[in-house]
Formats: sequence, structure tokens, C-alpha cells
Amino acid sequence: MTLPPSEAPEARRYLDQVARALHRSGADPFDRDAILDGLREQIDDLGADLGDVVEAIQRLDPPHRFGAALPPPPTTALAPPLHTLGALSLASCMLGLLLGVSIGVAGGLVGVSGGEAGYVLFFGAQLLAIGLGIASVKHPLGRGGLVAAALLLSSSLVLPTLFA
Amino acid sequence: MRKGVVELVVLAALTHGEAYGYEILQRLQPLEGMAMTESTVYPVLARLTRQGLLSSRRAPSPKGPPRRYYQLTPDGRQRLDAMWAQLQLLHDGVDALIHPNHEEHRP
Repeated sequence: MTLPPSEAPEARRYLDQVARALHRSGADPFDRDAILDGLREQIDDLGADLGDVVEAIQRLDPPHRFGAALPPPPTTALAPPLHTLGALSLASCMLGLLLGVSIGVAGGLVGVSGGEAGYVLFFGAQLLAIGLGIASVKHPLGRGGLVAAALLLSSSLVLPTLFA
Repeated sequence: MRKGVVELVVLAALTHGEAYGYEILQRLQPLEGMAMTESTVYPVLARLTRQGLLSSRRAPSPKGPPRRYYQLTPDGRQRLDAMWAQLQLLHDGVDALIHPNHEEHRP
């Protein structure tokens, strides 16, 4: 029994290269199987018509074009970049410290009880900074925000006494 | 060619019945401005199937392993009609801009 053109070594090599290009581009397995099925059918038809599987393969697009034709996986497309999360973590940490202490001190100076509001703002901002820092821990900014917020939070036990 | 146009062309190519991937390429080949290659059409076929706009089934082939035949689903037909209507509106709008005094565009 004669093997179909898509089973020839040249065809298998080409299909393997396309499969790898699709894998590198993060293609959905369903998409990958459908694309490879289409190519097998095309190689079978073209190879039979031309009587030469090598020529049939030469008429096809190069393997890298298939990976480039697919959109990036939705997770990477929708997730905010790590450096943005890291920068937000550091910003939250610093703003929480600045505003929390300022409100607390200003409230004390004008005779209004701003201590509690300042403490809540400070505490909330540090928790937010830790959350964002954990989400972006692979980036230096994220690690910086996480460590700074954790240090500030652990030392915050003394802040209520300052505002009291 | 833009992605939306490729989608429209692929859906339109299946209006009159199911076809396998290479067959769709061959349907487009003789049409001026429609020729596309496999690296454009096959990913679109896969995506449209995943979105439920096309359905696929395997059927035996005389030239090799079973083929994957695609056909429009009711949702796919609806999408095709909507895209086609939108394209015609666009065509009419551009035509009115180019030929502002043309009889057809007067209210």
C-alpha cells in the first residue's frame, strides 16, 4: 500500500516545523490540530496532483508564518505588564506612607483627630502595595514594593502611638 | 488583508456548501484580490470553528487521511449577513463622499 504524500519524510519534517512554530506562539491545541490537518490535506492533494511531494512543500508558506498568523494568547494580551504592577506597588507604598503620616500629623496640629484616618490610609495602602508586589514579584520594582510595604507594615505598630 | 475581511471572505466561501481547507483556498484563488495562502486561512478557519461560527466534521478522502470539512453554522450565517450589510453601508458611505451629487444619495 502506498503512503499518502503527507506521510513522506519531507512532509513530516515540514509539519513538525509548523507544529513547533505554533507551539512557540502559544497556539491553542484545537487551532494547532486544525491547522496541521489542513496542511496534511493540502500536501496530499498537491503532492498527488504534482507527483512530487518536495515541490508540493516548496509551494507552501514557511513554518514561521503560521505562528505569526495567530494572535498572542489572551492571558498575556490582557495581563498588565509586570513593571506596571511593580511601579504601582512602590507608588502605593510611598503614597500611603506620605499621605498617611501627613494626614495624621496635620490632624494633630489643627486639633482634629486625623490619627485614625491617617493610620487607615497608611495601612490600606501598604496592604495594596503588598498585593501588587506579590503579583509582580518577578520584577525588581514589584519586589521593591513588596519588601518596602512589608517593612513599613511590620513597623506600623508604633504609628498609632505617634498619632495618639 | 485585514483580519475582519479575511473572516468575511472565509465565511462567504462557505455560503454554498461545506469545503475542506485546501478546497477553500482553491475557491479563492481565481478571484481577483481574494487570493490568500494557507498560513492566513487555516488559522482563521480554526478560530471561527472555536467561536461556533463554523462546524467541522471528518470525512474519508480518496487522496489520503480523512479530511476536515467546514460549514457555516446558523451563528456563522448571521455573522456573515451582518458583516456583509456593514460592508455595503461602508461602500455606500464612501461612494456618497466621492460622488456627492449622485442621484442615488439624494434623500
